[in-house]
Amino acid sequence: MLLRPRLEDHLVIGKYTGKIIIGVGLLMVVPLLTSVVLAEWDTVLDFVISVAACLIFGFSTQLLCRTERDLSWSHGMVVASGSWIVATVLGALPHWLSGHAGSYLDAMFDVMSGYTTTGLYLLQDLDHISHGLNMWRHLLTYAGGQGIVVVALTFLFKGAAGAYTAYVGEGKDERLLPNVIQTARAIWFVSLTWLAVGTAALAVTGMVLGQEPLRAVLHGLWVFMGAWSTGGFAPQSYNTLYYHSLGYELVTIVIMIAGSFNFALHWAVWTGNRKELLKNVETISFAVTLSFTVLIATFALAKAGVYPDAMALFRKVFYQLVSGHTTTGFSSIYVRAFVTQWGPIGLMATTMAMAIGASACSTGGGIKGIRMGVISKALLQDIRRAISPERAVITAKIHHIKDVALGDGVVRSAMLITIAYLSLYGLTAIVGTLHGYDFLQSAFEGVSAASNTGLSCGVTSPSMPSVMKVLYILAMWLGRLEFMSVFALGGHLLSMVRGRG
Amino acid sequence: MRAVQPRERGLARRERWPLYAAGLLAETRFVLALTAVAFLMAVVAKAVF
Amino acid sequence: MTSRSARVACALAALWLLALTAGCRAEGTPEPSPNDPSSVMLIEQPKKHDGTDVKFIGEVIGEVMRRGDMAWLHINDDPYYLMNVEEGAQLGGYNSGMAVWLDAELTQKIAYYGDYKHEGDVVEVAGVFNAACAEHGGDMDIHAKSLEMVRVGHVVVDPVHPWKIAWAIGLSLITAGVGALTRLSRDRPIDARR
Repeated sequence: MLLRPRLEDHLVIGKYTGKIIIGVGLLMVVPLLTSVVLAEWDTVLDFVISVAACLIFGFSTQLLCRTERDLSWSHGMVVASGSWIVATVLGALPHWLSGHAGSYLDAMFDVMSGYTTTGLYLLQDLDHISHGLNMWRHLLTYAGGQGIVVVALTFLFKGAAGAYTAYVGEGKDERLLPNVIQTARAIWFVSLTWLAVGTAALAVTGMVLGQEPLRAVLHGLWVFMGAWSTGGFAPQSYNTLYYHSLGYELVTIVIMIAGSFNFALHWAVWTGNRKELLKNVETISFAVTLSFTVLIATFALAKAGVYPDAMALFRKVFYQLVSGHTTTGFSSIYVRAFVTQWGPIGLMATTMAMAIGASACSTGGGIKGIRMGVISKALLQDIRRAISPERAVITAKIHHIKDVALGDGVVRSAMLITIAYLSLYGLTAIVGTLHGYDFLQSAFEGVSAASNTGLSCGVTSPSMPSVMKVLYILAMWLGRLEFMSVFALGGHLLSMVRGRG
Repeated sequence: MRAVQPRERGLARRERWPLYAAGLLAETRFVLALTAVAFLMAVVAKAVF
Repeated sequence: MTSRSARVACALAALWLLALTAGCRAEGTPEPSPNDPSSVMLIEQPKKHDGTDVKFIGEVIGEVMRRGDMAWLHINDDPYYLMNVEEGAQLGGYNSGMAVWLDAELTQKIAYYGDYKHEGDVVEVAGVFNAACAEHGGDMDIHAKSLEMVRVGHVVVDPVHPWKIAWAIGLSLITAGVGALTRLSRDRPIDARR
C-alpha cells in the first residue's frame, strides 16, 4: 500500500535538496573566478546569474522547509535522484547563457552528461567557448564523478546520520571509514591527490608537446578531470586526438583506469594492501574483459588493414577500448571513424566494453565489474553443482577487500541490476533505430549514454530528435544512479497522486 | 565538528605519504602491465595479417 | 493531489519540456565548407582520399604545437571558420576540421589562433591526406608542404550584454535578501513558527 507523503516528508526532502543545490552554486564560484582572472566579462555575468539562481533556490528551501527530522531511507533516495534533476536544470544556465547551446534542452543534456560523467555533448562551436565555461564543464564532471551528494556531504552536512541514505542513493555503498562523512572525505582525499599528480603530469607533457604554460596547465587540469571522473569532456572539439602524442595518451590511460577503480580498492591499496590489486574481483574482471574486447578489436582491425603498423594499431585500439571500458569517452580518432574505419566488429567490441563498464563505487558507469564477477562466479558454481554428486556442498566466494561468501541474495541483486541495464541499453537502441539510425550505431550510442561513457559514432548531434535527447538524458541519469533511487523518486511522485492519506 | 578535525588532518599526516605514493605507483604499474599485454596483441595481430 | 490536478501537472510538465526544445537563435543556412573534399567528406570516406593531394582552407584553432622542426596545426573548415558564435554567427552544428603536420617555419606567418577571444587566421594548406598516418600512430592528418594566408584573423571583442547586467544585479539583490532572511529565521526555534 502506498502512503501519501505528509508535509514533513516534503520538508525534509526540500531541505536536503536545497543544501545540495547551494553546493552546486558554490561550485560555480570556481569558473566565475576563472573568468574574472582571464577577463571574460560576459562569461562572468553568466556565472553571477547562475550562482544567484542556485543560491536563491537553496536559501528559499532552507527558509520554507524548516524541520529537524533526519533523512529516512526513502527520503535519501528521493533527495539523491531529485537533486540531480534540479542541479541539471540550474546548472545548465551558464551553458544556455553562453549562446553555444541550441536550446535549453541541449544545455541540460550537456550538464546531465557532465554530472553523470558521460561526456556526450551538444554545445556548438566548442573551439570558441570561454575558459570559464570550459572550467564549469570539467568541474561539474569532476564533482559529478565523486557524486554531488558526496560534495555536499563533505562540506555542508553536519553529521546527519541519514545522509548515508542519500550517499547510497547516488550509487555508492562502500564505507571506506566507519563514518559516512569520513568516507566522503577519504574519497576526496584520493581524488585530490590524483588531481595534483595527474594535472602536473599532463601539464608537463603538454609543455613538452609545444603548449604555452598557461594553456598546458589548463588543458592538463581539464583533461585530468575528464579522465579521472571517467567523464570524457575535453577542451577542444578534437578531444584527445588534439595532442598527437603517445606520452599524453599513456598518461591519460593511467588516469582513466585509476579513475575507474572502486574507491574502496584505492583506499586498500593506499593503506598498504597492494596485493589487493591482483586479487580483487573487479580488477580481475576488468583485466579479463578489457583484454578480451581489445583482442577482438585488434584482430578485426588488423584483418581489415585499417592501420599501417603494430604501433598505430595498438595506440588506436587500446586507447578507444580503455576509454570505452572505463566509461570515459575520450577519443583519439574522429567520431565518425568508428563507422568509417572501425566497422561493425570494432563497433561491437567497443559497445561490449562500454556495456560492462567500470568498477562499483567509482566515478564510472556501466554494469560494473563486481556484477560481472558475481554473475560469472555464480554461473561456475551452478555448473559445478550440476556435475558434482548430489550431496556435495558447493560454495563460492568472491574477493573484494575481504572474502565474501556468494549468497543467493547477492547474485539476485547483481542479476536484477544487470537486467535493468540491459533493458535500458535495449530501449535506447530500439528508439534510435525507430528514428531511422542504423541499429549498430544506435546501440553503440545508446549504450554509451546509459553506461555513462560518452563515446560517439555520430548519432548524438544538435540536430538529433528531441525525443532522443530526452531519452539519453534519462538514460544517463538512470545509469549513473543505478536505477534504485530513481525508482524511489518515481514511487514518491506516484504516492503523491495515488497514495492513501 | 571539533572532534572530527584532528582525524581529518590525520589523512594527510606526513608519515602516511610514502604509503600513499607506493599505492599510487602500484596502480600505475597495474595499468602499464595491461598496456604491455595490449601492445603484444597488436604485434601478434600484425604478424598474422 | 487529485487525479485532475495530476493531469494538469502532467500537461504543464509536457509544455515545459516543449519550451525547453525551443531554439535560442534564429535558424538559417550555416556557412558551408570552402573545401572539396571538406573535413566531413575526408572523415566519411577516408579510404577514397587516402594518399591523395588535397588543398584545405580553414581557420587555425587553438595553438601551434612545435615538435622540433615540425609542428601540428588544427584547421577548422566548419560553419564558424569566417565568424564564430561569440561574434554572433548562427549555430551550425559541431566544429569540424583536420590536423595538419607541417614545417614549423611555415607557421610563423600565423598571427591569430581561434579561441574565445580570437577569430583565427584563415589559411590554405596543400599536402597529402593520410587516413591512418604511419608516422603519427594512425592519426588521420594532412602532411602539408605549403601554407598560404587567406585572411588575417582578429581579436573578438567580448560584448557584455546589458540585459545580463540587469539580471545579474537583480538576482544578486534577491539572493542577498533571501540569504539574510534565512540567517534571521535560523536563530528562531522551529516550533515558534507553527
